[in-house]
Amino acid sequence: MGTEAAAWDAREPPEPVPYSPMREFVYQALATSALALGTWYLHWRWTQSLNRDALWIALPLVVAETLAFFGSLLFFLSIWRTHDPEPQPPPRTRRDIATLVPGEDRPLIVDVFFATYNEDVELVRLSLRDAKAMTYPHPIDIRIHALDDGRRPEMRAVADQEGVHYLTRTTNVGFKAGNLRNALEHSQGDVIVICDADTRPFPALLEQTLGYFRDHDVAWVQTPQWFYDLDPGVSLPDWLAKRAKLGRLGRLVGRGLETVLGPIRVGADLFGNDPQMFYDVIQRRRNWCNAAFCCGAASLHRREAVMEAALRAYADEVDGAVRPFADDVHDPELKSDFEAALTSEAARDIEFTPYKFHVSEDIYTSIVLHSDQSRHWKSVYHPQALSRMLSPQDLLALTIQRFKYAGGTLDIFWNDNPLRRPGLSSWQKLMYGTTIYSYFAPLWAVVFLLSPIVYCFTGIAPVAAYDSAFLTHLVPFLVFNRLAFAAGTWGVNTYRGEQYYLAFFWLNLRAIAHVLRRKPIRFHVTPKTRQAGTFLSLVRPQLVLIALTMAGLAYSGTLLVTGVRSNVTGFLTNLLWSLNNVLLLSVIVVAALRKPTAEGA
Amino acid sequence: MDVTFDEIDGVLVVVPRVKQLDCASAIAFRDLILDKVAGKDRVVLALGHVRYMDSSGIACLVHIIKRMPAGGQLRLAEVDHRVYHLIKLTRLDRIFPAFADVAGAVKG
Repeated sequence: MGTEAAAWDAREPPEPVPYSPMREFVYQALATSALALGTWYLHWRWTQSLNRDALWIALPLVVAETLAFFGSLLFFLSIWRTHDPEPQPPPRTRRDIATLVPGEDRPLIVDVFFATYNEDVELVRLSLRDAKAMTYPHPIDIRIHALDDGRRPEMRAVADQEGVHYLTRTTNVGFKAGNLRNALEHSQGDVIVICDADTRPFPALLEQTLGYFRDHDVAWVQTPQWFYDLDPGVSLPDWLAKRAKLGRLGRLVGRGLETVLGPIRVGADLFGNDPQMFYDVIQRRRNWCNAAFCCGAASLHRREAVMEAALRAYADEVDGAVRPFADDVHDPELKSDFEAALTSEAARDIEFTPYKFHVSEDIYTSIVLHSDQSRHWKSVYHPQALSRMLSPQDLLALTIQRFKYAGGTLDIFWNDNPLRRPGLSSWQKLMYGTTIYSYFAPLWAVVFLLSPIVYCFTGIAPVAAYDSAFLTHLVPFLVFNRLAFAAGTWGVNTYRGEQYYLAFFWLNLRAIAHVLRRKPIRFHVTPKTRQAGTFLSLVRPQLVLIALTMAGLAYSGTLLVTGVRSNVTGFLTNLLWSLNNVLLLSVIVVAALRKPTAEGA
Repeated sequence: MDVTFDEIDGVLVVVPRVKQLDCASAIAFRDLILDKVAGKDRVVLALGHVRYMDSSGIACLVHIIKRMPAGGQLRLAEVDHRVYHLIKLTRLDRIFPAFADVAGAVKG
């Protein structure tokens, strides 16, 4: 890794896409048109174009289309407007961020937490060193802590050498959330910076973000997570000339295509790790309604907010445990004694946890704070990256990460639905709802994947007819949908994300099943999977679907050529549809074949 | 940190003689007090000197009760109204009953 790391070291994070009111207006106009055309199309689909002879396929498809359309509606609304936070000057002392009694003030204390478990200690050393290099214009007490859940003597040695605090504990209860809780109990900063083992802060991290805490209601600040190790890929002309061995002609064709389509890089970010779509588009547009959520690494938290919410959650839980029993006792004196005894019991038993012990503790804590009715905590998403980190390096690591995201979010929805929480505004609910809803997408994605296969093999169409009326209704919606999406995500490469959105359908289906069966959210990895060298075993369903789709195309193509079938529009529609499916699915197969690196495996 | 410990009628009375009990002093306070409360059925925390407490300070109360035996009760006395505001806001007033003075908390 050494030499590659040196090559990445010089990379700078991309600037956030500059805000343009004009583009935002164009986006809103296009999105409104797309939604209107989509409503018109779906109305027509439901009322006039169902294949009544084959409702078993016609109904699932129209339902899937409707659910997907609802997803588009949520998505378009969730990225409706951008409002970046006003930068604030760095606070001088504690008084600038909290209400204090007269006469008591001091420089700010900031705790920087690096949660680690089994990462290379030399990698953690780089992170610790970068944290030590953070600057601040006023006196400040920065305390850096290596939180080692692996209890490794070599990690302690590195912490000692770097002159930072080393913290560990005897158990691994609650995993990362438990590790953070332990750190909170053993530290005393006014503000906490949460970093993963590989999060390397830039010198300006505190200077640029602590100012937001001047607003006493700001509970946390999230900065973008930027991966500095993403594979930049090869430019299309180079790829055509060298890899595809087309020489000068290839280069010429490549240049021509790039002139029309813009720069194209083949093989860039094969694992779809680039989080720019999530941060620069999705999170950034949640700022205006105070709905940007915390994503763990590279975020800063007001200790007071974390602790206050934890205290309240604890008190409520104690009360919830006592109330049902105490309410059954009617004699006032007996009741008071009984209540006191029960309260004491519950207060001792119930966990006091500043971070929810949950796979998605970051989004969960965000929901708890956003819905806190007595405080109305605010969140800030700071658009510029102020740290860098490493991305998952192979399909297995990526699969484990995505499974955790999906399962964690669905688990929150299932067990503590934020949409039913009093205290969240309608827009906050819409934002959280959009995130949750997106994890249900595989339910309808399956229908989109299977429909063309069914048509190709059986000739049974889910629509009344693949005719010009169908295209007249569908094409304008699709075109405006694409245009709105392009305008809404302008300047951000979204294609990999779209590919994985579909390609991970199987993983997300499994996450849904996991949550429904109340199984712990952990992706089960067999030793065989790890040893195989490639991860094809992870993508069997995608391989089967690709094979079936291609076979279906060959089959129905043959029938068309030989005159057995005559519907050309039907064939062409399903051809495009199938090819799109295959193109989207194929990324994960290519990713599975990529040899895992030593660190990733 | 200046904290005094008294025993009145078998009840441990803890008096932190500080104006401020916040995140910066919570650990020191906890370290001083936790061993002393272990095994005590009733502890009274007299907060007469404390003018400011943040949630980290209040979290010490939770740590204390977790060290006490089954049925143990932690009572507060002489709580400043601003401090009590936060205790009420976090709804911990139901867990830690507050009394006007130490005598009331010891007897009541």
